[in-house]
Amino acid sequence: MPGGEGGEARAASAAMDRYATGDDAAFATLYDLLAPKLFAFLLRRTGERARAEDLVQQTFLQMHCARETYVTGADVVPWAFAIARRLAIDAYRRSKREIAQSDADFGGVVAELAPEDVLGTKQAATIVVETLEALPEAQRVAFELIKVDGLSLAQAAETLGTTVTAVKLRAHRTYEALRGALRDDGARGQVG
Amino acid sequence: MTPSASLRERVLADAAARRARTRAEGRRRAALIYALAALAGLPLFVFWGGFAHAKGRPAAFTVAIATGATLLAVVCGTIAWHRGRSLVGRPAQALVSVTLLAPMATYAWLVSWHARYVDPFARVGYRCLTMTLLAGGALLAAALYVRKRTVAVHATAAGAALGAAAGTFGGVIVDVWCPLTVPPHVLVGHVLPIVLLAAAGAVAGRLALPIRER
Repeated sequence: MPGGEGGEARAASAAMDRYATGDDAAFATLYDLLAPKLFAFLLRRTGERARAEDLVQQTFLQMHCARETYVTGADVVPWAFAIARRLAIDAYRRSKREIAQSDADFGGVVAELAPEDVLGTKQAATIVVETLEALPEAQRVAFELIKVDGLSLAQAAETLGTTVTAVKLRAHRTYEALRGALRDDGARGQVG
Repeated sequence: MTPSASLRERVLADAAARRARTRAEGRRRAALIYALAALAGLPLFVFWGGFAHAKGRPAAFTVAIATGATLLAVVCGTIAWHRGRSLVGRPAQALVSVTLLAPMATYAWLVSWHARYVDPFARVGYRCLTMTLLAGGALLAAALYVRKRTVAVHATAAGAALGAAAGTFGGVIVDVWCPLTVPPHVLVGHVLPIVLLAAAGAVAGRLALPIRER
């Protein structure tokens, strides 16, 4: 949606604007536009369907309760992702459970990073997940928001409450870490 | 990878069951709360002599100093209070900058007037400290109340910036009242309360501002 599907992001913002003025029916439209992306984001962070759904529900409840703060013309996508991330962090701190990342989510990242003649996609996806888990949260999330969730740099920066330059730097560092990990693994495979 | 169909029903039922203010209602409520908070410093201002307390300083200087302080407060307030087109808020860098620069700019602005007239008397600055804390503290409390549980990122930095900005706004009424710009007095009476409000804002912001499960 965001980034490559700016039309949907604009539609979501328009729906939120209508909702902020009291058009209650607009909330269903907002849900339909945002829920799949938020669910994918939260499922990746929690590794558990039921938990991800609870957090999606909480995210929309927060948006509902804070609808008075919506500013006409503002992008609702970074706000929704920022709320979802906040709730996921709080839930994680409460439960202290491991976040199980799904290899399948990183198919696009692997295709971009790993030459197919060096590594199998499944193996590469595992390396991507392991490398991402070893990185600082802020760095990992910046990369995921852009590469997996499809947010633009500006949207990712807003979601994380930082500047576009900082997000670019974090994403670049993650990208380099992943390339390095995949290259090392490829070299080991060739030696072996 | 999509959520279950029942989730949609749950979310919509949740929203229908909870009353949420519309934007127009929210704005009216916030305006009322901020207007009441803005009046908090007035009783002390009047009780301690009002405008007459600053009569030892040329009136034009008082107007100029207060105007500069107001401009500084507006700049700090614009960054700390106003979220612009972002619903998430300003980047952490901007919030931290306001927190650090507000007391520094206040000191530089007030002390820059020191050599231009003779201070009519000498005071440590405890009354200026009290008045700024009261006026700024009320604004900070109002901001925290209006924004409670709505901040998704950098709640501590947002609280600190709100505190510093509230301190600069509270300082305007004190600049109209106090005729002193000698550095030690400015530090105790005008800069220290901004620092204290920023610290209080950081602590209170961390507790009150972050979004929490409902």
